[in-house]
Amino acid sequence: MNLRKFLAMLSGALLLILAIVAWFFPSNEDFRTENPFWNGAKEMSLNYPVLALESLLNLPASPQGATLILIPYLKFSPAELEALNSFVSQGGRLILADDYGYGNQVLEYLGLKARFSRHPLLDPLANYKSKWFPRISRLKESALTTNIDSLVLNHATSLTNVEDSDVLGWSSSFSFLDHNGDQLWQEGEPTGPLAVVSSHALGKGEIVLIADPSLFINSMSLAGNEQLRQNIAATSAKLLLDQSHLPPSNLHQTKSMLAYLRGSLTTPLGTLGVVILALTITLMPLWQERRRK
Amino acid sequence: MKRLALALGVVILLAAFVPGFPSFAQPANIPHENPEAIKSSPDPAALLLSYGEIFSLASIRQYDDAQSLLQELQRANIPDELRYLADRYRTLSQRLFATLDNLELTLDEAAALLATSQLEEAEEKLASAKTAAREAQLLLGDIETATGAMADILGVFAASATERLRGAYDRLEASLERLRELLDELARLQQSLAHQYQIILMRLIPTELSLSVAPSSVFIGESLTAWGRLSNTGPLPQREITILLDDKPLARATTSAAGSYLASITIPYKYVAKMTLRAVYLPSGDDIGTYQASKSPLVAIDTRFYPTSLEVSAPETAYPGLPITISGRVSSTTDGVSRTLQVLWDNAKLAEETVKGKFDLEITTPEGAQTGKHELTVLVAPQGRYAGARERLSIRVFRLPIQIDVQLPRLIILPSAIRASGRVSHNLGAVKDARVSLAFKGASAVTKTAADGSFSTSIEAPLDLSLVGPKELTITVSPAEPWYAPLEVRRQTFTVNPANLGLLLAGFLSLGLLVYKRVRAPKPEAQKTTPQPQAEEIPALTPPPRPRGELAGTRGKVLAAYTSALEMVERRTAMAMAASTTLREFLKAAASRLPDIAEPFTELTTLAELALYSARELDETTATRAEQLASTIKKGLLP
Repeated sequence: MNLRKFLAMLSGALLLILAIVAWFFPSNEDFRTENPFWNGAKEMSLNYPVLALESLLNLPASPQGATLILIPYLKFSPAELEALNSFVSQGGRLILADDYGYGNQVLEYLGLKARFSRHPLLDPLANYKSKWFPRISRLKESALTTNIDSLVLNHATSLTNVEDSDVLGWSSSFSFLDHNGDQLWQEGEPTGPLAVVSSHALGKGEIVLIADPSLFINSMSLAGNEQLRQNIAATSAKLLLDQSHLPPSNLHQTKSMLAYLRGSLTTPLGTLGVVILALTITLMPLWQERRRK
Repeated sequence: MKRLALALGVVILLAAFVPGFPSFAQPANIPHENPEAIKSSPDPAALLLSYGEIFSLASIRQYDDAQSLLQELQRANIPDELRYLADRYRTLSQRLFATLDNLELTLDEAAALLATSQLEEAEEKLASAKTAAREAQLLLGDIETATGAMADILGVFAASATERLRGAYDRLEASLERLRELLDELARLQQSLAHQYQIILMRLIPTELSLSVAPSSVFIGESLTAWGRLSNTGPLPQREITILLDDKPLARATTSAAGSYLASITIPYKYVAKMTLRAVYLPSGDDIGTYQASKSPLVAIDTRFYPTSLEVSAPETAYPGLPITISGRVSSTTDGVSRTLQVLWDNAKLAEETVKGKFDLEITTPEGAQTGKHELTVLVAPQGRYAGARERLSIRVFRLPIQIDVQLPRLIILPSAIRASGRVSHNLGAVKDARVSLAFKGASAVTKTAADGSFSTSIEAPLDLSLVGPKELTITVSPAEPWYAPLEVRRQTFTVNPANLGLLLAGFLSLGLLVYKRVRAPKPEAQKTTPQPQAEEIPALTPPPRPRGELAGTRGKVLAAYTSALEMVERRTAMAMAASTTLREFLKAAASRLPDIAEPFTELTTLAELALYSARELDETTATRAEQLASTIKKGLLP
């Protein structure tokens, strides 16, 4: 076997091995429904009938009773914003869970005054283990907060410009927004109680703001958080979790590419192509031998 | 060359994998942490600062805010060694704030009572204010002790204490000091009011007030007459008397020249068996500073009304959208009165009906009712003399299970349309207009059931890489009626993909053809020139050329011995030594078949290799040894 042939075969084998590993390697990307690790949302997709949505343009045409959980870490296109607007105004419920992403872009488009403050919410006392995990115990009775004793947030922010009547959850009086990033309260930094969950009527639908998307990850299945997920599922005829605005990762791109390739191969044309390729490789030696003769 | 290729392969392998590693790495730009992986880090300085803030609020008399902050501290992340002390601290503080709040309220009330010359009540209030002030002093003392203990545990006074911790403790101390000042101020106020009471008591003229009612037993909604007299040493005319029903003002009357008063009182619709009346005189105008206030003894009135009893029965189960019948009976002392009946489903009004005596009320279970337990409340509204009544029932909501009978082809040839038909039903009959969805390998089809519950549809099975085997088809039924439960069933079908099978067969055939041609291909030229000695003697064997005695001397002898042994071995093993076979390869093959002579043949082979390839001269002993070995092998191979 000459070197060229050896290298070609080795490259082919490596590509195949890498593709297989990438295909079967479990997803480790944040908020993905197929990620079983601490930062994924597989637990939620196993416990509740969650449909992972790969494009906002695939939102149901009649959204009444449907709930869309949106974690906006990527910018929205005008078409996507319009799709969201249409979803909510026709009766869908949008749960916008954001901290430092593009939630305000959605709020601005939908014409709501409320905003995500985009400053870290720290609570040195009412917390779970550390000040970065504020415990939310001030909850207003509603369908979403039924049977919830407290929620635990993870590197959250707060909501601003929210009417008191719209707020469903406040941080404790000991919490504050860390504007200068020194992790200590300084004169002028807003102190608790600060709004972290709110609900707003919009058209025929509703928009719920949660100032932390990490409520939905596997490792945050603490008692109250799990109850919130259960309440969301119980009050939804259809539960959708958007995956199209999560931060892109190499593994996900590779998996998507492989899935696309697989999809292409399962079409009649693709299948035919594979078979022809297999035949060509098999019959190549015969053809070469004939040529030599 | 082989080593070079291996090294190159490893390098390429690494080069190919290394850029791929980031693909499997954890994305790091999301602002969150694994809560399981972080260490608990309570903030003692923040705890002290919070207590300081709480006592500051209390010192400016914002007791409710201070209490609510204390309440929030219950959920604070507090170091374990401080937990007990913090709990006690919180309890003491809560009691102190409640006592202070009560003390202030009592003092305010005492001041108001003194202002209206109600000395008897004022005395009571001042006594309880004194007790409260004493209790508050004790509680504050306990809190100060606990603060010291907490500071010791937190190491506030240790050299290693941070500036922030010391600052927080100083703020807490300052807040406690302000609280003590407030307490002293309240104690002074209590003493001042007590002194004022003594002065007023000596200066004011006491008064007396009586109260009588008739009749003493009435129906609610009816009126009664109340009368009495206000006097000191003589009658007090033109004074306003307030009549209280259960301590709430109900009517007013003015005393006559003889000091007597008369009032007609209508008993409100309160469905209780007993109410109390009391008359009160509060000095006003010129009377303030002259007369003491007075109140009459309590007079009890027996109030009557018609109690209502409600008996209700309802099914224990219900189905969304289907009606249920609630039966029962509303009864009271006098039957024949129409009553308004309300039915609440989980506290939301579902129906309202006017009933008389027995009733059967048909209500429809809400279509959106979730499966599980719900509360059904039936209540009769109060009506005049008739009291209301309420009954709560527990009702469990189910959805009716449905069945599906599906006919699918046992064998599906891909790609083709899969014809599916069947019937959706439940125990009572057909389920019509139900949405039936079929999903098979990414393809789907939707249809609706007919009036008899039947459906028929086809789904285009796509072409893919499969060959043969079972495949799963999912059928989901979503009934139009809310009382039916949705259903999902999975059915296995056997699929055959002839196109892929044919192509695979063609591939295998081609491969077979290739192998066949290779096997049948003419042997290389070198083999054609191979002599075939003793072909007649060993017909099954065609020995190829082997090392023969081309060498003279000792080498020749060794080689001759090897050749003679080799021939014997070839015969016994029916295995010829090919031209391309080395001595060692042949040895390996022969030794596995003839283990008895493996040892001498190995040694003889080594000697033959020395004779053929070694540069060193061989001695006579080697030749003799070779011959001995050959002889041993031959003997060993004799039958």
